[in-house]
Amino acid sequence: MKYVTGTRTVNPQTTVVTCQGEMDTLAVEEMRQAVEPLLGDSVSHLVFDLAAVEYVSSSVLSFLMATQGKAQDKGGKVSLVGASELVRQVFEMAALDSLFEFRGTLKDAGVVVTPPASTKGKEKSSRQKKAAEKETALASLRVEEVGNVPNLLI
Amino acid sequence: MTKPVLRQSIAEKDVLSFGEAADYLGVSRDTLREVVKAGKIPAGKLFTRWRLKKSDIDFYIRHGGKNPLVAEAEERAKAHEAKETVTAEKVLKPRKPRRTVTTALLLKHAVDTLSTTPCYLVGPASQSLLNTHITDAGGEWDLVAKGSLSEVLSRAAELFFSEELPKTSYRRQELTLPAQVQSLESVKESLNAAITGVGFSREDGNKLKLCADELVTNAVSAGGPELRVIIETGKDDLLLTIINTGRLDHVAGRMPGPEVERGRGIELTKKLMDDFLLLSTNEKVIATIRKVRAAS
Repeated sequence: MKYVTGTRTVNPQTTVVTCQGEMDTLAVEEMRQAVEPLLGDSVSHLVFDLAAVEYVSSSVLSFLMATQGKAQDKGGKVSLVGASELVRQVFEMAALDSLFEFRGTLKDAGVVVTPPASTKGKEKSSRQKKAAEKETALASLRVEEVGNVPNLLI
Repeated sequence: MTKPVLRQSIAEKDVLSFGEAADYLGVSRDTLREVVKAGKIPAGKLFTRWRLKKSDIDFYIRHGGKNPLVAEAEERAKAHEAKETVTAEKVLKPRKPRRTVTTALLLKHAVDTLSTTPCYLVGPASQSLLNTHITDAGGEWDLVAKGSLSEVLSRAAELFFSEELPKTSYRRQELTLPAQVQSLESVKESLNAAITGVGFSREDGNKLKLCADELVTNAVSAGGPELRVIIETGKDDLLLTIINTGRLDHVAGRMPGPEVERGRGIELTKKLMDDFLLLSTNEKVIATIRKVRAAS
Protein backbone atom coordinates (compact mmCIF):
# COMPACT_ATOMS: atom_id res chain seq x y z
CA MET A 1 0.00 0.00 0.00
CA LYS A 2 1.19 3.49 -0.82
CA TYR A 3 -0.34 5.59 1.95
CA VAL A 4 -1.12 3.09 4.74
CA THR A 5 2.05 1.19 5.48
CA GLY A 6 0.71 -1.02 8.21
CA THR A 7 -1.74 -1.68 11.02
CA ARG A 8 -0.64 -3.11 14.35
CA THR A 9 -3.08 -4.39 16.89
CA VAL A 10 -1.94 -3.41 20.33
CA ASN A 11 -4.79 -4.99 22.24
CA PRO A 12 -8.35 -6.02 21.34
CA GLN A 13 -9.52 -2.39 21.51
CA THR A 14 -6.53 -0.49 20.11
CA THR A 15 -4.89 -0.52 16.70
CA VAL A 16 -2.12 1.69 15.34
CA VAL A 17 -2.53 2.67 11.68
CA THR A 18 0.75 3.93 10.21
CA CYS A 19 0.44 6.37 7.30
CA GLN A 20 3.00 8.07 5.09
CA GLY A 21 3.49 10.54 2.26
CA GLU A 22 1.11 13.06 0.73
CA MET A 23 -2.29 12.13 2.12
CA ASP A 24 -4.64 13.53 -0.50
CA THR A 25 -7.94 12.43 -2.00
CA LEU A 26 -6.25 9.39 -3.52
CA ALA A 27 -5.29 8.18 -0.03
CA VAL A 28 -8.86 8.05 1.28
CA GLU A 29 -9.85 4.77 -0.40
CA GLU A 30 -6.76 3.05 0.96
CA MET A 31 -7.46 4.38 4.45
CA ARG A 32 -11.04 3.19 4.22
CA GLN A 33 -9.92 -0.31 3.23
CA ALA A 34 -7.52 -0.44 6.16
CA VAL A 35 -9.80 1.02 8.81
CA GLU A 36 -13.28 -0.32 8.06
CA PRO A 37 -12.55 -3.97 8.93
CA LEU A 38 -11.01 -2.80 12.20
CA LEU A 39 -14.03 -0.79 13.27
CA GLY A 40 -16.31 -3.65 12.29
CA ASP A 41 -14.30 -5.68 14.77
CA SER A 42 -13.79 -5.00 18.45
CA VAL A 43 -11.41 -2.05 17.90
CA SER A 44 -12.63 1.26 19.27
CA HIS A 45 -9.37 3.21 19.76
CA LEU A 46 -7.61 4.01 16.51
CA VAL A 47 -4.19 5.59 16.66
CA PHE A 48 -3.08 7.13 13.37
CA ASP A 49 0.70 7.43 13.25
CA LEU A 50 1.26 10.48 11.02
CA ALA A 51 4.98 10.99 11.69
CA ALA A 52 5.87 10.27 8.04
CA VAL A 53 2.96 12.25 6.55
CA GLU A 54 3.73 15.41 4.53
CA TYR A 55 0.18 16.86 4.51
CA VAL A 56 -3.47 15.92 4.72
CA SER A 57 -6.14 17.25 2.36
CA SER A 58 -9.73 18.12 3.22
CA SER A 59 -10.90 14.69 1.94
CA VAL A 60 -8.69 13.04 4.54
CA LEU A 61 -10.07 15.42 7.19
CA SER A 62 -13.58 14.34 6.24
CA PHE A 63 -12.60 10.67 6.43
CA LEU A 64 -10.98 11.11 9.84
CA MET A 65 -14.07 12.96 11.10
CA ALA A 66 -16.33 10.13 9.95
CA THR A 67 -13.96 7.58 11.57
CA GLN A 68 -13.95 9.57 14.80
CA GLY A 69 -17.77 9.45 14.79
CA LYS A 70 -17.78 5.66 14.34
CA ALA A 71 -15.16 5.17 17.06
CA GLN A 72 -17.11 7.36 19.45
CA ASP A 73 -20.27 5.34 18.76
CA LYS A 74 -18.34 2.36 20.12
CA GLY A 75 -17.18 4.34 23.13
CA GLY A 76 -13.72 4.86 21.64
CA LYS A 77 -11.72 7.60 19.97
CA VAL A 78 -9.20 8.50 17.26
CA SER A 79 -5.73 9.69 18.29
CA LEU A 80 -3.30 11.39 15.90
CA VAL A 81 0.38 10.91 16.60
CA GLY A 82 3.46 12.74 15.31
CA ALA A 83 1.59 15.24 13.11
CA SER A 84 3.89 17.74 11.36
CA GLU A 85 3.41 21.49 11.69
CA LEU A 86 1.56 21.69 8.35
CA VAL A 87 -0.76 18.82 9.27
CA ARG A 88 -1.59 20.52 12.59
CA GLN A 89 -2.05 23.83 10.77
CA VAL A 90 -4.61 22.28 8.39
CA PHE A 91 -6.60 20.87 11.32
CA GLU A 92 -6.47 24.26 13.03
CA MET A 93 -7.53 26.17 9.91
CA ALA A 94 -10.47 23.82 9.52
CA ALA A 95 -11.26 24.35 13.23
CA LEU A 96 -11.18 20.57 13.73
CA ASP A 97 -8.13 20.34 15.99
CA SER A 98 -10.26 20.22 19.14
CA LEU A 99 -12.15 17.16 17.88
CA PHE A 100 -9.07 14.95 17.88
CA GLU A 101 -6.51 13.87 20.42
CA PHE A 102 -3.07 14.96 19.16
CA ARG A 103 -0.02 13.29 20.66
CA GLY A 104 3.66 13.76 19.96
CA THR A 105 4.63 10.09 20.12
CA LEU A 106 2.98 6.70 20.34
CA LYS A 107 4.00 6.58 24.00
CA ASP A 108 2.16 9.83 24.64
CA ALA A 109 -0.91 8.22 23.08
CA GLY A 110 -0.66 5.38 25.59
CA VAL A 111 1.08 2.93 23.27
CA VAL A 112 4.58 1.60 23.94
CA VAL A 113 6.53 -0.02 21.16
CA THR A 114 9.34 -2.16 22.52
CA PRO A 115 12.36 -2.20 20.23
CA PRO A 116 13.69 -5.65 19.32
CA ALA A 117 16.69 -6.78 21.37
CA SER A 118 20.05 -6.32 19.69
CA THR A 119 22.88 -8.71 20.69
CA LYS A 120 25.34 -8.41 17.83
CA GLY A 121 29.09 -8.43 18.44
CA LYS A 122 29.25 -6.99 21.95
CA GLU A 123 30.31 -8.41 25.26
CA LYS A 124 27.46 -7.88 27.67
CA SER A 125 27.50 -7.03 31.34
CA SER A 126 25.26 -9.06 33.64
CA ARG A 127 22.90 -6.11 33.80
CA GLN A 128 22.65 -6.00 30.02
CA LYS A 129 22.15 -9.77 29.95
CA LYS A 130 19.24 -9.48 32.36
CA ALA A 131 17.72 -6.74 30.26
CA ALA A 132 18.17 -8.84 27.14
CA GLU A 133 16.39 -11.78 28.79
CA LYS A 134 13.55 -9.48 29.70
CA GLU A 135 13.40 -8.23 26.10
CA THR A 136 13.23 -11.81 24.85
CA ALA A 137 10.38 -12.58 27.20
CA LEU A 138 8.54 -9.60 25.85
CA ALA A 139 9.43 -10.34 22.25
CA SER A 140 6.04 -11.85 21.51
CA LEU A 141 4.41 -8.79 23.04
CA ARG A 142 6.11 -6.19 20.87
CA VAL A 143 3.52 -3.64 21.63
CA GLU A 144 1.55 -3.09 24.76
CA GLU A 145 -0.75 -0.45 25.96
CA VAL A 146 0.11 1.55 29.03
CA GLY A 147 -2.79 2.56 31.21
CA ASN A 148 -3.30 5.95 32.87
CA VAL A 149 -0.79 7.92 30.84
CA PRO A 150 -1.46 11.59 31.48
CA ASN A 151 -3.04 13.36 28.54
CA LEU A 152 -0.18 15.59 27.51
CA LEU A 153 -0.99 17.83 24.63
CA ILE A 154 1.90 18.47 22.30
CA MET B 1 -62.03 57.41 -7.00
CA THR B 2 -58.28 57.21 -6.89
CA LYS B 3 -56.57 54.34 -5.15
CA PRO B 4 -54.73 55.25 -1.95
CA VAL B 5 -50.98 55.13 -2.54
CA LEU B 6 -48.99 53.36 0.14
CA ARG B 7 -45.72 55.22 0.44
CA GLN B 8 -43.06 54.39 2.94
CA SER B 9 -41.27 57.45 4.22
CA ILE B 10 -37.48 57.66 3.89
CA ALA B 11 -37.21 57.35 7.66
CA GLU B 12 -38.80 53.88 7.54
CA LYS B 13 -36.69 52.57 4.68
CA ASP B 14 -33.42 50.64 4.82
CA VAL B 15 -32.65 50.89 1.11
CA LEU B 16 -33.03 54.14 -0.79
CA SER B 17 -33.24 55.07 -4.44
CA PHE B 18 -30.72 57.55 -5.83
CA GLY B 19 -33.19 60.46 -5.58
CA GLU B 20 -34.25 59.54 -2.05
CA ALA B 21 -30.59 59.25 -0.99
CA ALA B 22 -29.86 62.71 -2.42
CA ASP B 23 -32.87 64.13 -0.54
CA TYR B 24 -31.83 62.36 2.64
CA LEU B 25 -28.37 63.90 2.42
CA GLY B 26 -29.75 67.26 1.30
CA VAL B 27 -27.55 67.40 -1.80
CA SER B 28 -28.16 67.35 -5.52
CA ARG B 29 -28.11 64.10 -7.51
CA ASP B 30 -24.93 65.27 -9.23
CA THR B 31 -23.16 65.79 -5.93
CA LEU B 32 -24.27 62.37 -4.73
CA ARG B 33 -23.07 60.84 -7.98
CA GLU B 34 -19.60 62.32 -7.34
CA VAL B 35 -19.60 60.97 -3.77
CA VAL B 36 -20.55 57.48 -4.98
CA LYS B 37 -18.01 57.65 -7.78
CA ALA B 38 -15.28 58.47 -5.26
CA GLY B 39 -16.18 55.27 -3.40
CA LYS B 40 -17.26 57.15 -0.29
CA ILE B 41 -20.75 55.66 -0.24
CA PRO B 42 -21.27 52.20 -1.71
CA ALA B 43 -24.10 51.86 -4.22
CA GLY B 44 -25.29 48.87 -6.18
CA LYS B 45 -27.67 48.20 -9.03
CA LEU B 46 -30.71 46.28 -7.92
CA PHE B 47 -32.33 45.03 -11.12
CA THR B 48 -31.97 48.16 -13.23
CA ARG B 49 -32.00 50.88 -10.59
CA TRP B 50 -29.27 52.19 -8.35
CA ARG B 51 -29.88 51.61 -4.65
CA LEU B 52 -28.02 52.79 -1.56
CA LYS B 53 -28.17 51.43 1.96
CA LYS B 54 -29.29 54.01 4.49
CA SER B 55 -26.84 52.61 7.04
CA ASP B 56 -23.97 53.39 4.60
CA ILE B 57 -25.23 56.98 4.23
CA ASP B 58 -25.48 57.30 8.03
CA PHE B 59 -21.93 55.95 8.30
CA TYR B 60 -20.77 58.55 5.76
CA ILE B 61 -22.49 61.37 7.66
CA ARG B 62 -21.21 60.14 11.02
CA HIS B 63 -17.63 60.16 9.77
CA GLY B 64 -17.71 63.56 8.18
CA GLY B 65 -17.74 62.39 4.58
CA LYS B 66 -14.67 60.19 4.87
CA ASN B 67 -14.22 57.08 2.82
CA PRO B 68 -15.69 54.30 4.99
CA LEU B 69 -12.50 52.25 4.66
CA VAL B 70 -10.44 55.14 6.02
CA ALA B 71 -12.98 55.91 8.75
CA GLU B 72 -13.14 52.32 9.89
CA ALA B 73 -9.39 51.97 9.78
CA GLU B 74 -9.06 55.10 11.91
CA GLU B 75 -11.56 53.69 14.39
CA ARG B 76 -9.53 50.52 14.62
CA ALA B 77 -6.33 52.48 14.98
CA LYS B 78 -7.88 54.44 17.84
CA ALA B 79 -8.98 51.25 19.56
CA HIS B 80 -5.46 49.83 19.34
CA GLU B 81 -3.73 53.07 20.30
CA ALA B 82 -3.30 52.06 23.92
CA LYS B 83 -1.54 48.84 22.93
CA GLU B 84 0.63 49.97 20.05
CA THR B 85 0.87 52.67 17.45
CA VAL B 86 -1.31 51.64 14.55
CA THR B 87 -1.98 54.14 11.83
CA ALA B 88 -4.91 54.07 9.45
CA GLU B 89 -2.46 53.42 6.67
CA LYS B 90 -1.09 50.33 8.42
CA VAL B 91 -4.56 48.87 8.99
CA LEU B 92 -5.55 49.51 5.41
CA LYS B 93 -2.39 48.04 3.97
CA PRO B 94 -3.39 44.77 2.33
CA ARG B 95 -2.01 41.74 4.15
CA LYS B 96 -1.32 39.96 0.89
CA PRO B 97 0.36 41.19 -2.26
CA ARG B 98 -1.74 42.97 -4.83
CA ARG B 99 -3.23 40.52 -7.21
CA THR B 100 -2.15 42.01 -10.50
CA VAL B 101 -0.41 38.87 -11.70
CA THR B 102 -3.14 36.44 -10.64
CA THR B 103 -5.84 38.56 -12.22
CA ALA B 104 -3.92 39.13 -15.42
CA LEU B 105 -3.25 35.46 -15.99
CA LEU B 106 -6.69 34.27 -14.91
CA LEU B 107 -8.40 36.74 -17.21
CA LYS B 108 -6.11 35.82 -20.07
CA HIS B 109 -7.24 32.21 -19.68
CA ALA B 110 -10.82 33.43 -19.45
CA VAL B 111 -10.56 35.25 -22.76
CA ASP B 112 -9.10 32.14 -24.34
CA THR B 113 -11.78 29.89 -22.91
CA LEU B 114 -15.08 31.64 -22.47
CA SER B 115 -17.71 32.91 -24.78
CA THR B 116 -20.78 33.00 -22.61
CA THR B 117 -22.07 35.58 -20.20
CA PRO B 118 -22.62 36.47 -17.48
CA CYS B 119 -19.34 36.04 -15.63
CA TYR B 120 -18.66 36.21 -11.94
CA LEU B 121 -15.23 36.94 -10.56
CA VAL B 122 -14.95 36.23 -6.85
CA GLY B 123 -12.12 36.45 -4.38
CA PRO B 124 -11.54 36.54 -0.64
CA ALA B 125 -12.72 39.86 0.70
CA SER B 126 -9.58 40.87 2.52
CA GLN B 127 -7.69 40.82 -0.76
CA SER B 128 -10.25 42.24 -3.12
CA LEU B 129 -9.96 45.89 -2.04
CA LEU B 130 -13.62 46.17 -2.93
CA ASN B 131 -15.17 45.75 0.44
CA THR B 132 -16.72 48.72 2.07
CA HIS B 133 -15.84 47.41 5.49
CA ILE B 134 -12.66 45.62 6.44
CA THR B 135 -13.20 42.00 7.38
CA ASP B 136 -10.90 39.90 9.50
CA ALA B 137 -8.45 37.47 7.92
CA GLY B 138 -10.35 37.02 4.68
CA GLY B 139 -13.33 35.34 6.28
CA GLU B 140 -15.70 36.42 3.56
CA TRP B 141 -15.82 36.25 -0.20
CA ASP B 142 -16.56 39.22 -2.39
CA LEU B 143 -18.08 39.36 -5.77
CA VAL B 144 -15.25 41.28 -7.41
CA ALA B 145 -16.97 41.81 -10.75
CA LYS B 146 -20.06 40.59 -12.53
CA GLY B 147 -21.49 41.02 -16.00
CA SER B 148 -20.38 40.21 -19.50
CA LEU B 149 -16.82 39.07 -19.95
CA SER B 150 -15.81 42.50 -21.26
CA GLU B 151 -17.40 44.20 -18.25
CA VAL B 152 -15.61 41.85 -15.88
CA LEU B 153 -12.34 42.50 -17.67
CA SER B 154 -12.67 46.25 -17.51
CA ARG B 155 -13.75 46.21 -13.86
CA ALA B 156 -10.86 43.93 -12.92
CA ALA B 157 -8.46 46.11 -14.87
CA GLU B 158 -9.74 49.20 -13.05
CA LEU B 159 -9.32 47.48 -9.68
CA PHE B 160 -6.11 45.60 -10.01
CA PHE B 161 -4.04 46.90 -12.85
CA SER B 162 -3.06 50.18 -11.28
CA GLU B 163 0.39 48.73 -10.82
CA GLU B 164 2.63 48.13 -13.73
CA LEU B 165 2.68 44.48 -14.67
CA PRO B 166 5.96 42.87 -13.69
CA LYS B 167 8.31 42.29 -16.58
CA THR B 168 8.93 38.67 -15.61
CA SER B 169 7.87 36.24 -18.26
CA TYR B 170 6.02 33.12 -17.20
CA ARG B 171 6.91 29.63 -18.34
CA ARG B 172 3.74 27.82 -19.16
CA GLN B 173 2.85 24.15 -19.15
CA GLU B 174 -0.61 22.94 -20.04
CA LEU B 175 -2.22 19.54 -19.49
CA THR B 176 -5.61 18.29 -20.59
CA LEU B 177 -6.69 15.43 -18.36
CA PRO B 178 -9.82 13.34 -17.84
CA ALA B 179 -12.03 14.73 -15.09
CA GLN B 180 -11.19 11.99 -12.59
CA VAL B 181 -9.46 12.02 -9.24
CA GLN B 182 -6.66 9.84 -10.68
CA SER B 183 -5.62 12.83 -12.82
CA LEU B 184 -4.25 14.31 -9.62
CA GLU B 185 -1.17 12.08 -10.03
CA SER B 186 -0.28 13.75 -13.34
CA VAL B 187 -0.97 17.22 -11.92
CA LYS B 188 1.29 16.55 -8.96
CA GLU B 189 4.03 15.16 -11.16
CA SER B 190 4.15 18.35 -13.25
CA LEU B 191 3.71 20.49 -10.17
CA ASN B 192 6.66 18.80 -8.43
CA ALA B 193 8.95 19.75 -11.30
CA ALA B 194 7.65 23.34 -11.28
CA ILE B 195 8.02 23.60 -7.47
CA THR B 196 11.64 22.47 -7.72
CA GLY B 197 12.24 24.87 -10.61
CA VAL B 198 11.07 27.92 -8.65
CA GLY B 199 12.90 26.75 -5.51
CA PHE B 200 10.04 26.61 -3.02
CA SER B 201 10.68 25.30 0.48
CA ARG B 202 9.40 21.81 1.23
CA GLU B 203 6.54 23.23 3.30
CA ASP B 204 5.40 25.68 0.61
CA GLY B 205 5.70 22.94 -2.01
CA ASN B 206 3.47 20.75 0.15
CA LYS B 207 0.98 23.60 0.50
CA LEU B 208 0.83 23.96 -3.28
CA LYS B 209 0.25 20.23 -3.79
CA LEU B 210 -2.39 20.20 -1.07
CA CYS B 211 -4.25 23.08 -2.76
CA ALA B 212 -3.89 21.41 -6.17
CA ASP B 213 -5.63 18.42 -4.64
CA GLU B 214 -8.47 20.63 -3.41
CA LEU B 215 -8.96 22.32 -6.79
CA VAL B 216 -8.81 19.07 -8.76
CA THR B 217 -11.23 17.34 -6.35
CA ASN B 218 -13.69 20.23 -6.65
CA ALA B 219 -13.39 20.33 -10.44
CA VAL B 220 -13.94 16.57 -10.71
CA SER B 221 -17.01 16.67 -8.47
CA ALA B 222 -18.47 19.41 -10.71
CA GLY B 223 -18.58 16.84 -13.53
CA GLY B 224 -17.71 17.35 -17.17
CA PRO B 225 -15.42 15.34 -19.43
CA GLU B 226 -12.02 16.94 -18.86
CA LEU B 227 -9.87 19.35 -16.90
CA ARG B 228 -7.45 21.88 -18.32
CA VAL B 229 -4.54 22.42 -16.00
CA ILE B 230 -2.13 25.31 -16.55
CA ILE B 231 1.03 25.69 -14.50
CA GLU B 232 2.88 28.99 -14.89
CA THR B 233 6.17 29.68 -13.21
CA GLY B 234 7.95 32.99 -12.86
CA LYS B 235 11.19 33.98 -11.20
CA ASP B 236 9.84 33.57 -7.70
CA ASP B 237 6.21 32.52 -8.04
CA LEU B 238 3.95 29.78 -9.31
CA LEU B 239 0.38 30.01 -10.57
CA LEU B 240 -1.87 27.01 -11.00
CA THR B 241 -5.07 27.34 -13.02
CA ILE B 242 -7.73 24.64 -13.30
CA ILE B 243 -10.49 25.07 -15.87
CA ASN B 244 -13.46 22.73 -15.77
CA THR B 245 -16.99 22.43 -17.00
CA GLY B 246 -19.51 23.39 -14.37
CA ARG B 247 -20.84 26.32 -12.44
CA LEU B 248 -19.92 27.89 -9.15
CA ASP B 249 -23.29 27.88 -7.43
CA HIS B 250 -22.13 29.39 -4.21
CA VAL B 251 -19.05 29.92 -2.14
CA ALA B 252 -19.81 29.42 1.53
CA GLY B 253 -17.43 32.19 2.59
CA ARG B 254 -16.67 30.54 5.90
CA MET B 255 -15.14 27.33 7.10
CA PRO B 256 -17.98 24.85 7.70
CA GLY B 257 -18.55 23.71 11.27
CA PRO B 258 -17.65 20.21 12.53
CA GLU B 259 -21.20 19.01 11.83
CA VAL B 260 -20.59 19.38 8.09
CA GLU B 261 -18.64 16.58 6.47
CA ARG B 262 -17.38 18.34 3.32
CA GLY B 263 -16.72 21.79 1.87
CA ARG B 264 -13.43 22.77 3.50
CA GLY B 265 -11.20 22.61 0.43
CA ILE B 266 -11.87 26.08 -0.96
CA GLU B 267 -11.52 27.71 2.44
CA LEU B 268 -8.24 25.91 3.15
CA THR B 269 -6.90 26.98 -0.25
CA LYS B 270 -7.83 30.57 0.50
CA LYS B 271 -5.81 30.45 3.70
CA LEU B 272 -2.79 28.57 2.39
CA MET B 273 -2.16 30.50 -0.85
CA ASP B 274 -0.98 34.07 -1.42
CA ASP B 275 -3.81 34.67 -3.86
CA PHE B 276 -6.87 32.85 -5.13
CA LEU B 277 -9.44 33.93 -7.71
CA LEU B 278 -12.43 32.10 -9.14
CA LEU B 279 -14.18 33.08 -12.33
CA SER B 280 -17.49 31.40 -13.06
CA THR B 281 -19.94 31.46 -15.93
CA ASN B 282 -22.90 29.25 -16.68
CA GLU B 283 -20.62 26.69 -18.28
CA LYS B 284 -17.08 26.91 -16.93
CA VAL B 285 -15.19 27.57 -13.73
CA ILE B 286 -11.64 28.92 -13.78
CA ALA B 287 -9.72 28.78 -10.53
CA THR B 288 -6.27 30.35 -10.23
CA ILE B 289 -4.01 30.16 -7.19
CA ARG B 290 -0.68 31.87 -6.71
CA LYS B 291 2.15 31.18 -4.30
CA VAL B 292 5.16 33.46 -4.02
CA ARG B 293 8.47 32.01 -2.87
CA ALA B 294 9.40 33.30 0.56
CA ALA B 295 12.50 35.49 0.59
CA SER B 296 15.45 33.48 1.80
